[in-house]
Amino acid sequence: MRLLTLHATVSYLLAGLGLLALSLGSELPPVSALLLGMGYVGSLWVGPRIWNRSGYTSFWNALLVAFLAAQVLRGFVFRAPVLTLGVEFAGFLQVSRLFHRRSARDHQHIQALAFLHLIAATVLSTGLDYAAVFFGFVLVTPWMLALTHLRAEIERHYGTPDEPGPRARQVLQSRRIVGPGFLLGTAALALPLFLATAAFFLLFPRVGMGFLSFGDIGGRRVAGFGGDVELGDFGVIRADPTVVVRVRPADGVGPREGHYRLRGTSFDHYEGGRWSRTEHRPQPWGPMLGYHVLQRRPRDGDRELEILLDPLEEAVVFVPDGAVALKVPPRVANAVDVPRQLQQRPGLDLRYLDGDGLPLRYLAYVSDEARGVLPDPLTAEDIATYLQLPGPLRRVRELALDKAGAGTPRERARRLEAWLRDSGEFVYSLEMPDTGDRDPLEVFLFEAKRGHCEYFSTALAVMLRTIGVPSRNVTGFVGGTWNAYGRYYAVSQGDAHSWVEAWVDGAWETFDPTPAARGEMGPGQGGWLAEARALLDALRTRWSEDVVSYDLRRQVSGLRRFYLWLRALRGAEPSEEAQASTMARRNGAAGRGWGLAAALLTLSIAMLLALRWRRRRALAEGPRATRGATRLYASLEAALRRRGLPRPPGRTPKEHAASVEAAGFEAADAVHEITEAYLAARYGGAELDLPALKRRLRDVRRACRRDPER
Amino acid sequence: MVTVGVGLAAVNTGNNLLYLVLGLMLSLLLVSGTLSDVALWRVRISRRLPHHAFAQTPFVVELTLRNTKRRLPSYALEVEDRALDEAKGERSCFFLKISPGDSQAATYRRTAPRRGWQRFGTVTVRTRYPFGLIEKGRSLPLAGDLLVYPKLRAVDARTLHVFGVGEETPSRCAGERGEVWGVREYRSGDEARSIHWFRSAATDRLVVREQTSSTRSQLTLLLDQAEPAHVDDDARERWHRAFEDAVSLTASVADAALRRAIAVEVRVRGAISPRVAPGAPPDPIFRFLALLTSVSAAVAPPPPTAPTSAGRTMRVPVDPAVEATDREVA
Repeated sequence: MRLLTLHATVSYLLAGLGLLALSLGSELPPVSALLLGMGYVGSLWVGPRIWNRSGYTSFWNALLVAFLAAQVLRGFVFRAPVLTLGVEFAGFLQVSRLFHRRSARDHQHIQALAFLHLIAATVLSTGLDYAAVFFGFVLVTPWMLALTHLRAEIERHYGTPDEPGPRARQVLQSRRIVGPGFLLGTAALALPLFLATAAFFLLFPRVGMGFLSFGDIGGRRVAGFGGDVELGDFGVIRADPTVVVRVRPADGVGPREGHYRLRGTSFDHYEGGRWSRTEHRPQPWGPMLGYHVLQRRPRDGDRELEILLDPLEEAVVFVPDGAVALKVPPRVANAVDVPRQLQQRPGLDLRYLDGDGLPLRYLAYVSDEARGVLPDPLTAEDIATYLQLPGPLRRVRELALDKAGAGTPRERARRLEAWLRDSGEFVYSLEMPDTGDRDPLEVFLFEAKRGHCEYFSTALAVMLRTIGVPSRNVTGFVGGTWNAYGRYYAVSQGDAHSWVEAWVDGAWETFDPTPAARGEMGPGQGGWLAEARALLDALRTRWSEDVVSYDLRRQVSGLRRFYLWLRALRGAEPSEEAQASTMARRNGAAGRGWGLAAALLTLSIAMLLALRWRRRRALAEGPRATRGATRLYASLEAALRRRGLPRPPGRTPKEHAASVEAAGFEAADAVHEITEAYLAARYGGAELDLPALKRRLRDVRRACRRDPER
Repeated sequence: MVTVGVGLAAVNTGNNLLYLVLGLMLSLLLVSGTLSDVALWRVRISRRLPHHAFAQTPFVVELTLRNTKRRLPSYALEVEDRALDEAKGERSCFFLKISPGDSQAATYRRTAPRRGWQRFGTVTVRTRYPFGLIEKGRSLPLAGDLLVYPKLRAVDARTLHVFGVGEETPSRCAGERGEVWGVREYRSGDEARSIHWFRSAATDRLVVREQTSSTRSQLTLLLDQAEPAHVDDDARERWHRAFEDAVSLTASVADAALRRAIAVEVRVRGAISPRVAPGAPPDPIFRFLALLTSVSAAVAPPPPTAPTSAGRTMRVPVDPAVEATDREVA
């Protein structure tokens, strides 16, 4: 392939990756992205015939100034977001360079701009899409840099920097400079580049000062956890497979019921087909001896669940069913631990305040005895709140009395739950007929008899209230698909669910009236698409955990693991071995993988250093044939130095031998013999009788060891 | 600079993605430095100097690079060849690609500032390949000596006339170049037309014809290299300049005389150059003059004297008061 063609292709690849990086996140409007894409493609057809025309560069310079002025105007007059304007301008700069790719210097500009785009994208996205672009850069950058350097050298040596000249053009058109071997070899550089990048990333001290922190990037919007929720909101997202919560049981055992129930928030006020929450002043919720206690501190036998919660628009802390306590690790800021700020409102509405655009990771301790029961005391004043109804609802009350029958509040609540869920009168459906101005609940209960979870939970909560049982509508997630790649249970947006908590026998108890058919309508669980989705999500999770959320704590613990691993390799004392083994078990294959990678990297660096040292030594010792002589003479010098007869830098070997003799050294004849042999071999190419000379060297050493005074 | 900027931004913000970009940039530097070493690894170099060179006159040096690596080509190598008395070398040779096991030669022009030995010690091979971020170089010992002859200048007819050279008729005189005297081995500077091709082919060595010459056509140039005591450094510098001009003029006149079939000999204090017969290369005279050094007048041998045999004798003046351009006609 011609160097010129290959270089242009690789330049376009890198510039494309840079523009792709700019388009991550939502800062670049679709129209701007489309225009930039058109410019990117359009520049392909621009060649020397066009860019050598007079006025071409002036036209682009004028266009650039005009575009900048337009951006400033949009910013000041129309209040367009500064970040968007900056991203658009950065993209335009690259497109203008692509229209000017005359010489190596222009390609260097393209390459620098692409790198700036990659840097800018760090504030636009932290997702797996950034990882993909980044790895694209790791692959393409060696090609780009190598080709640009070659081209620059050709232009410098066969022309002038501004004008490549005919000879340079001829060389650049040559097919003999770069071929498949060059491409493969340069592409192979991506591997050491990647390993070195990983090493630098892991080892660079995480002592962020936070002076220029860009803060929150913004979370994903999930309906049902804000101040209110309208009937119908959840149904539409049932098929959304986007994973938002990951649950990783410490013991590797999945949930007993086959799914996790993660409680988000609750609503106490129902009016006009809409649930809302009574406003209360939030209270700080701090840890007690390291745990955020819900019922009690964790005990032996409690199961530990690690929860990784994607940043959502509503910063709700989700609590698994049966949780007795949570442990929310502090953030590391400015190299110190900063406790997370959590707060709670009545109705067990738990939220975190210090969202930083990164996933929230916390541990939940779950006990079977606490399953289905929640610690949220109900005062006498609050009872009225949980019995609120939008009106008399006579038909609903009559129906509730009929279906609930007689008995304790719990028995009556269970009967109503069973009637809605199991009687077969009601069908789970994501589609609802248009209710017009009528109350959607009455339409659901008496006419349509079909709906999704919100209708079922609303029906049960309202019916319970009509018969005097305090109740509330709860939203959260119910589900969890095992992700074999990431070894966690993935809870998706489609697993969002709504159920009921009723105050029975002095505690809030969970009731879920939604028919089991809900489980059949979730996100697809099989097929290659689901597998691919699971793989992608596992990658996204690893990226988020190991890269985006990497901090000083993990850095220190990683180094400690590496140290313990090394000690275990060397056969350290049993206690350390046991510790290392425990750590290794806890960290699983990932820990071993990191350790192995670090060891390989260390080994590679050591080998490189050794090679370098050998080469320098070889250079210092001269040609291979004379190295034996050089080493022999070096040994002689060392022996004499120990005896107090060092050779000054300005003295020749022969002069040194004579001075040793003059000093009365008893093995002076051996020194003369070795010196003569050395000179003859080093400068005359004579053969060395090494065994004999080594014997003479031993004589010198023996004489050196003797006391000079004797 | 960009790397430092990204590093500062990463430390300030604590943004791990910036740390990642910083890692990539540092890795590029690391890999670039390492691979530059690999490009220089097992590269052998040799130098071919010209047979003769004249001071202040460009000449060509040939450098040959051999890549003894088995699989990896070496790209974009620059060679800096530096004489021992040079402060800064000339980076004149560029090798774009040397395939594994292959060798390439390139030439560059250099100019020796003065006559005498020009000694070469090391050759430095540099490269910034593959990424152009870090330059690596290796100095390879490559000794070489080149005897630089005095600068030859154009000598006009008037000057030649002053030296008595113009009186000889330079061409188209029967026997003017003498009869064939014998043959000898080719020496640097011999004219191609004097090569005895049949004998050369038979012996597989270049052999030239030697010719007889008339004893009437002989020129002896007397040059006094005794350096007087100087009153100051300025005077010393002027004298040395004049002396170098005189050496240059001597070499130029000798060359012109030899071209006109006049045998030449140079005499200085304490030494006499070989007598070069017409038709023979002037190298013995040039070599003699290239290595000529001044001596203090206080300890110098007696001044050179004219030979007793026939022929013309001319003294080349060393006069600091006369500019070089005027000296030719003085």
